[in-house]
Amino acid sequence: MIHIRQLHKAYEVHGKTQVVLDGIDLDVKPGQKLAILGRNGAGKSTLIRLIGQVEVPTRGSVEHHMRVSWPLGFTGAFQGSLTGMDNMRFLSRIYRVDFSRMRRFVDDFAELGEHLYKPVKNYSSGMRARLAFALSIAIDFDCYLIDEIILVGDFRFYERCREQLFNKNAGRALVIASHDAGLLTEVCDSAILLRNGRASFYHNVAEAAADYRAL
Amino acid sequence: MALSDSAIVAAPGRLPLLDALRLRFVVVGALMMREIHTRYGRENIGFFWLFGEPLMFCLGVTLLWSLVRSRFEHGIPIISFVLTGYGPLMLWRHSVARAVHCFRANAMLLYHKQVGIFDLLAARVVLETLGGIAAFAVLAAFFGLLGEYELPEDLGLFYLGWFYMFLFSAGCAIVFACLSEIFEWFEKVLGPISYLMVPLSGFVFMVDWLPEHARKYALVMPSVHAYEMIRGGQYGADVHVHYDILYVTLVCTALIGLGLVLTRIARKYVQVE
Repeated sequence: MIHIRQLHKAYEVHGKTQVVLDGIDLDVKPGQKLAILGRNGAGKSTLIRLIGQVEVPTRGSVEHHMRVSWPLGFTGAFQGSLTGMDNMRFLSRIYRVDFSRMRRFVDDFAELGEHLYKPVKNYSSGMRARLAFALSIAIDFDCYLIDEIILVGDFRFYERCREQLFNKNAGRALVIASHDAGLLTEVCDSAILLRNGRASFYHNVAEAAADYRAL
Repeated sequence: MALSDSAIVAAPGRLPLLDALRLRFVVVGALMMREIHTRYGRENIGFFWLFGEPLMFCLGVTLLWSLVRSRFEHGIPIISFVLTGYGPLMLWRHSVARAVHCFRANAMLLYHKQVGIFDLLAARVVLETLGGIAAFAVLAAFFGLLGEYELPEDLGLFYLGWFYMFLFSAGCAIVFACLSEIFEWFEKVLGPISYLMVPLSGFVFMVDWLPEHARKYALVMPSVHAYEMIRGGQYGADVHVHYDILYVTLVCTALIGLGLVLTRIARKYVQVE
């Protein structure tokens, strides 16, 4: 379970306070596939980062009662000047996963080959995404936070992620923020729509997607 | 085929304090390894500069000093005086310089929630301390072979001085790291502070050489106490030292305590891209 209670987040921009999230209450259950919908700037990424405890809320709390991944997205999580291999070594240490097993899994899953020995800053966004997904699946979290669909890899890679993460039988919880309402409808079993800092909860993702399109 | 059995992310339950402590060690250790890789690289002589820089400084100062003055000052050999002065100052300076903007430089690592900003700082300070001690040891051995440096007379007092220098450096590092994150201008102030520390730290004088009325002002600076212990340990009965263990302990503890409070505030200023 992830318990989110009365979550507020405000930023100071040019001396003005800008409220992004204004009281979010939410639970994520084991195996739940939750979609986060909302227009640009509605706070989707902010919410994902707060759930991942990457950012500190202005008020309110986020409690993890299962193992939650870092927010998988286009940015963060890696040190650009280090090689993929060095980043992997660092993650294997801090998440306490056996390095050689992790390496075998990542080699097989991400198919980065020689690129693993190059600095991550030289990776394309597709390669970064493949590395991030492979590493996070190797670490085996109970819940994956995905900021924007970063499945920019090829079809084969998409199929593997689908098998590991999206498959209902895999039993992993997902929280996905995206504009791609079609894919969210296919993958998720519940949704929230962010509007003016508040969240509306839907048991039916198609309904949420329809409301999102009508915004 | 995920590697579930070996993946432990702060396993809840049994002995949470012990688990939390072990996780801190694991994280700080991993950060240090990473820092060594990024800083010194794998294939160059970057590591050499850890010793090369202080070596050049000590040789330079000794050369200048022996041109102008004698090779002894107040009956103390110049090389060992510069060596026991520069080593500890380097520990302070590098810890503090590495601490400034340390949080934002590593912000991408905060994506991993078991990495806290305190870990980022601890890794750097520990690394700088080990580097400072290693550099001192290598230089001491080098000048020892040349017959210009002798082992300290009182090793206990000598080590105690280094320990307080570490404590003071760690306290300054944590406070400065937080201030640099909260106030943009703080980075600019560090330059002058660093230079002022050369005369003020106790590197270039012993309290006993000062006029009576100036001594109590010199002893306001905690590092002066540390230097007195180091020199007292080095030269034994040849020098007369002034230090107050209670005072230096209190000030260093207060600095670290203040720093820990400030990290809670500073965390809100760290933007994770």
